[in-house]
Amino acid sequence: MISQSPTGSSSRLQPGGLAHSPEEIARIPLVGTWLLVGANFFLLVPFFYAFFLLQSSNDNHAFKPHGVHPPSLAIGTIALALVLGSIALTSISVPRLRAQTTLSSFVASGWVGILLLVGAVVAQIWQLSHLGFGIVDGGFASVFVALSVFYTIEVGVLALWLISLTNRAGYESRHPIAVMDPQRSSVESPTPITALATSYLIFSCFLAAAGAISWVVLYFL
Amino acid sequence: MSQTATLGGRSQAASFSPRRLFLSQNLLTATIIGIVTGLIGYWLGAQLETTDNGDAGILLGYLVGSVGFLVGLGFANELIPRLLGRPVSVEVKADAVELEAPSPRNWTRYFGISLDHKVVGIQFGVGVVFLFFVAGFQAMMIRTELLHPKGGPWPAGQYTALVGLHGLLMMFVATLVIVATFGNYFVPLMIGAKRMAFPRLEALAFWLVPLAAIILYSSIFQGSGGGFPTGWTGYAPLAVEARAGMDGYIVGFSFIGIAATIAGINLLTTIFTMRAPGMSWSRLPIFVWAMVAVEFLSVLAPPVLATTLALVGLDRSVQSSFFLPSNGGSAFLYQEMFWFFGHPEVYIFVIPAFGIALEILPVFARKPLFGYRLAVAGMVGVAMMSWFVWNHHIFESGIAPGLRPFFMTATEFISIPTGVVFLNLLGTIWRAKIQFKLPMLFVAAFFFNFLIGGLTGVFLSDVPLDVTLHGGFFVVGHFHYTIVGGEIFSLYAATYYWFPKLTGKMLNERLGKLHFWTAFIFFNTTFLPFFAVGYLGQPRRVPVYLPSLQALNVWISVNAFLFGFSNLIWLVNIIYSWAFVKERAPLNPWNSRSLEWQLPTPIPADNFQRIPTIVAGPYEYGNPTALPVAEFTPGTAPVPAS
Amino acid sequence: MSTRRHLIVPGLVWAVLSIAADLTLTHLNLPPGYATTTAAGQSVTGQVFSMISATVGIAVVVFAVYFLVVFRGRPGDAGDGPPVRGDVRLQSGWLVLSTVIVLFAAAYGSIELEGQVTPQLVVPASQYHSAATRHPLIVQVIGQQWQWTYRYPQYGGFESPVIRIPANRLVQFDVTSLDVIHGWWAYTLGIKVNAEPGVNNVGYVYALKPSRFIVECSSLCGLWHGYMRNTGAQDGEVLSQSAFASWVKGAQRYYGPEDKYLPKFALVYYPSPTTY
Repeated sequence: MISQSPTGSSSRLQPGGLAHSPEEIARIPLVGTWLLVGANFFLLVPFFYAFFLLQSSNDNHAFKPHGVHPPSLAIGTIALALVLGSIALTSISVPRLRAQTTLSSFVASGWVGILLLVGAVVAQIWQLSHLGFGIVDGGFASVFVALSVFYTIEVGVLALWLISLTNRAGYESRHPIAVMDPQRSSVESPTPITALATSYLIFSCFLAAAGAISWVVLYFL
Repeated sequence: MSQTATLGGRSQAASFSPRRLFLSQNLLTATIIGIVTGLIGYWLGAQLETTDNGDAGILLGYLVGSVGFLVGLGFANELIPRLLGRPVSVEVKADAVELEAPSPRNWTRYFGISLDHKVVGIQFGVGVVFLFFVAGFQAMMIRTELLHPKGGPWPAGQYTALVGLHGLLMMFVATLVIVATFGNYFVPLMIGAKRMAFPRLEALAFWLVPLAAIILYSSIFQGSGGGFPTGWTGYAPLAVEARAGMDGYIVGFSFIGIAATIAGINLLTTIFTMRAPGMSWSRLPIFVWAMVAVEFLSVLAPPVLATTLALVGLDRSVQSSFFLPSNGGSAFLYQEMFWFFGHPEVYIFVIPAFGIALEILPVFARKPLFGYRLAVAGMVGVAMMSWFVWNHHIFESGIAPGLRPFFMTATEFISIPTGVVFLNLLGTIWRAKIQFKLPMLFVAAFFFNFLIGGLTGVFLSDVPLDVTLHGGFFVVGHFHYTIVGGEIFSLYAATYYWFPKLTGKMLNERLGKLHFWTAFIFFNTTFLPFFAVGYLGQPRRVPVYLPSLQALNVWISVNAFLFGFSNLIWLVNIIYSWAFVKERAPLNPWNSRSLEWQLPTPIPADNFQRIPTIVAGPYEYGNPTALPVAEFTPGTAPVPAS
Repeated sequence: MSTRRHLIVPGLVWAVLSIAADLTLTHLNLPPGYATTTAAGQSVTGQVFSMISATVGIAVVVFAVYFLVVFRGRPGDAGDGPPVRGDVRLQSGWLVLSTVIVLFAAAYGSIELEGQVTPQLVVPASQYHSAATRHPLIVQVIGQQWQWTYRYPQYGGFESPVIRIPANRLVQFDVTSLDVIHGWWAYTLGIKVNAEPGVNNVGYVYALKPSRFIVECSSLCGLWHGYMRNTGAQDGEVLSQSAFASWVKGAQRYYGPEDKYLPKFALVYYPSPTTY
């Protein structure tokens, strides 16, 4: 399809347009989100590395000093379940969106998902204020509080992202987006909602997995 | 007539009424908002403070103030529309940029948010090179201190703060100067794209840099003596117990890491999704391949730093104990986490330098790049292997004994893909018709310097040798040879090469030759003795040394002043040629086949009116049947006779 | 000009220069010297690596300079060179050669490393089964901001600000820190061990003859990092076994009375329990 030889002619290629094509525009958020997932992965790795290193070195027996017990498993599980539920909902609604054209059901499930995420944030904040220990109480406490706060902030940002996405779907259902032909117009097409929704799905699945792993590490290891 | 590229389409006219000055979003109002919100953040932190050392206030002050500054500049202008679901445009509606005649109509766009990657590239270039000279001036101060074995004008605490500032600021420069300047400016042009993938993110990446520099420099005024005492590596627990200047380090360094990650996401997405038709991976210029290789590091490594520094900040402000062994933490944890970032970081410095050198070499050798695929494999190989060698920075810190041979071997193995670049050099200049223009001179110097830098790295990778050499001037010599002799010399080469396309002027030939000879000679006479003093046992970051080493140190210092002076020649050349020379450069003075040289100067705001179709590779010198690299109007490429 | 000539001329220059360089290097006594087995190993390794680096470096420089000079464009010739894009044999040969050199360096380094960190191998071969190896002297090196102190647990645990070790006996250093990361570096002994809080880092030395040595701090540790050294009157000393024995007796008498104020000997020390 694309000529590999250094001296090929262009006859087999679609010539370049006056603007970037809608296909290229659609791929941009997807590639960007995968890279964001990579960056975010390495943002989280130090927390887990710290947990395991501090647990094994247990300097001055202060990884979990007296009086520090893992906090309420129930609340932590509820918070995680709310996050997972929201993302499970997304993983159903996004493929449906790609398969069909109606946006209103996507909008509805979007708002449910937002509520679930907000509930998770509230639950986590409640837990953090009723821990029974503070961040000053040793290695485990430091990792637990720091990781929980960081993850809660990420879930909050995810909720904002979902609000934006849901509103965009609602906007598009009221004002259909015109796709431009790059061979004729130098105006770029806007990014299609399916690409935006898929990129949200990618990142939220990553965050769900990160939450599940954190839950296992912090409560059971 | 022309509308400059501001958000919301507001034009910045030349008039400066006070009303316009204080009510619109510009640098001045953003600064004021930043200061005000910073003070609010400081007050907020003081309320959260659990002890009275003030760190929470300072950290929050920096963070909230930075957010306030960015909001004041206009980065939040689309937040509400986006939350409400409105599509936001990324188009740059501007006419051609006249860079050689600054006028109020166009130079103000460099002081705000610009969606044009070429403007952002220039912003980065000027900003980062400015930081280079600031940090270079501090290097002169360091060498002044080392003129006498008993120390110099600055007492011990200030000397380590000086060393730390010089080092950290140079890290800022080295991370960004090639990738953010030339990567942002030329990668879309080289791949035939009209814009970059995330223009607003790119503008954000730029504005984090002045913020980081100001925050870092404000650490001079914090606490007694000022500055931060840990050197650029910021080792805890010293970083936890350090005075208030450490907070500037934490926030400033994190910002640069975030900027590098953002720039990386933007560049990689652009290269992956927005290449012109016909721009296959095997026709990609080697500089763009270098960007691909380096951005994988740049996207993935700095987040580790950001988290690590955040944990130090937590230890400092709310008394968590990540790094304090007495309360369950571990000092060793910091070293492991920091260097897991730190080693890919130094390859972020060096891989773009390879890209520049290999990009410029074929143009002046008038031959294709020898071993293009091998060069790509080399750079990608270096990038991948750089994740597996970080323990060589902490051989003596008590790592598990079995790990030392592994990391030693891995580090030595990384010299194989690194060495490939020398085969590219030798093969390309074999039977070439080399034109010794200024960019070529600097490329040759790059290879010479990097050879010495690379070979001395092998010394350091050997654990028994590292026992003597670690923490001394041998290490300092090694990384100055690779970073300054390597990356900065390739920066010089890139400047001389691309100046005509950036500004429409040629850099002055005589000043350039003077710059080259003084830089090359004095760089080597300054840094070669570093290996000697290091081998003779002089530790780094220490203002005193054995009297027997004074002669060498004085020699180094004098030559360092001369090398610093040679940088001033470069600066003078740039300013003089840019602002005072009237003669315009030819459109393609080096006769390069690369796509960016086929464009007019100045390059139009949207780069190409129609996205070109790529029909040939950029290194087909000497091939009589080679087509020009792109056809700009469909169907006009001559069909080769066959 | 034939290909062979373009390769033989620089090849000859390279051979001459690198043989000269290597011969010079074999006659140099490189730092850190030969006072201990570890230092001697490092000095020899330095020579070996210098010879490899010199040979490789001179090759690249000679060939590159020759090519740059001989293949420069003549004035007035604006043409291009031949379109050579690669050469599979040359590229694979280069990769193989660099791999071989690297493998050699890695193997050499690993063997040398084992000889420097394994107590049995730090000791010279003739001493493998002697008492000197079976009963090493243990010295605890304590780093703090900003001085080094040394405890001798086998002699009652007295703490001394100066370090004395015997020659011809395996010495084990247990290095730790009380506060931040320091680096214990005895340059002429060829040993550098980081002092990390909460960690016991172990290093070994077998000194071959009596000497004096300087101790410096190699890891930035705060304000007086540069002055955290044992030099001059506080030089470290390697003493003969008998001199060491008498020094220990004197030190026990002199520093012993302070023992009751010091914490009990332990491999790591923590401050008293933290209270908020």
